[in-house]
Amino acid sequence: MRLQVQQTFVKGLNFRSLKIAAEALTLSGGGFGKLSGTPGIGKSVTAQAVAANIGGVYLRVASIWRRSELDFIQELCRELGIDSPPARKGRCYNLAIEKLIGTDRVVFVDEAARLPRDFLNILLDLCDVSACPFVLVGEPELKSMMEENKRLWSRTHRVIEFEPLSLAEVAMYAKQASGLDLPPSVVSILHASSRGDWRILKRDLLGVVGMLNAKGDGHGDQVPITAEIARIAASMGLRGEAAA
Amino acid sequence: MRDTFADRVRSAISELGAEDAEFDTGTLADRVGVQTYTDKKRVHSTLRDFRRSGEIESVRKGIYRCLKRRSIPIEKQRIMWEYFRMRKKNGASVTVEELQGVSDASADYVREFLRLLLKLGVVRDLGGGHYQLLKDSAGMPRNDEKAERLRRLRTRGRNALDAIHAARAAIDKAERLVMAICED
Repeated sequence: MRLQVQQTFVKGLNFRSLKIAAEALTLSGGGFGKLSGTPGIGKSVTAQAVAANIGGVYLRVASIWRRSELDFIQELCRELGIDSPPARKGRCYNLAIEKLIGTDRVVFVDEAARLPRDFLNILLDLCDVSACPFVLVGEPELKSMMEENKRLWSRTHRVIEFEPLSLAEVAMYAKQASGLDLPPSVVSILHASSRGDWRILKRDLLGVVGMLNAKGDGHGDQVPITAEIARIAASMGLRGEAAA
Repeated sequence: MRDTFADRVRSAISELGAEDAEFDTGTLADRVGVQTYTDKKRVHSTLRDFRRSGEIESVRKGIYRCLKRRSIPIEKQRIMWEYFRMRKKNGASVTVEELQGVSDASADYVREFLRLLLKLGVVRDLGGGHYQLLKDSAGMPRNDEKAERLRRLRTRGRNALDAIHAARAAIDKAERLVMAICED
């Protein structure tokens, strides 16, 4: 059988940490949470999975909103189930509050570092009035952006740091995505090579699967997975700064 | 979003009181606005479902307590739908395995949901196991045909159960009569 790598999602430690943090924010009656980390660590996809699992709201900041508070608040309205949001900011804001109030829904704002500084005050108002928790997700510079806004930072009750990929997660991902039971030596090679980055792990696994298929002449599942194959697959991709 | 009977009961419960508030079925039925015996039975059935799903708990006969909102489990279809919508914001497609991983649903259930979305033209099959959402809306498409089929099945099940109860009562009565004749 020809092996394939399917896109999959592993409910690992980071998923659980974020879910617990989001639920804790709900219990504490609102406030802000911060989730930041380097690219490829799985912030966005984990935030989406958690939001879907706890009935949260997921909002991804678009660069086009930079000059339009209305676009931003209209998008939030749409996510809250208002199909045709009003054309005025104030009305949109009030509708969003109406929809959020008393629901305890956690609002995840992804790519929050792209938001203009003034927009943080809109989030602050929404959070205060609705008593719903807001989790801001972004790259490491998000922290300094949040710290600058003293009122927002003082309401930030949870700071979530994602752990790098564990060995178990690498093995689980390989099993779920390709059906391969990787031997421990191969898992540790892929783990070390990925440096905690899901995208690199996926690329390396694609390399392993490609080599197995080539060796087995289309029957990759019959070829033994060796550490040598894993090492070659891991060395095929560019590593950027890490490779230097 | 569709306003189901369960939603009506749910909103009536929340109108009756906050978390941990107790309520009886009679008051709840009045609040829902049902009057006939059949509709009241529907309220009872809905409460039974809520009790099983952990939304409410039974305090004593006919009295229930609303549990914390957080304990309400989100249906797997809803989790899959929301995840689908969220992934679309990143321009990403999803796979059966991914939806399984996120929602803990079985592969068959995920495929059935995807078939429905494909039938409704909401989703496009990109090939290689990848699916992409075409129409993004907060309202989740539902399989009304299947829901109606299940509703009919439940009604038939209830009717059959009622018939069994009636038959059992008639047999008991006949037994008592036979015993009385024997004693005479």
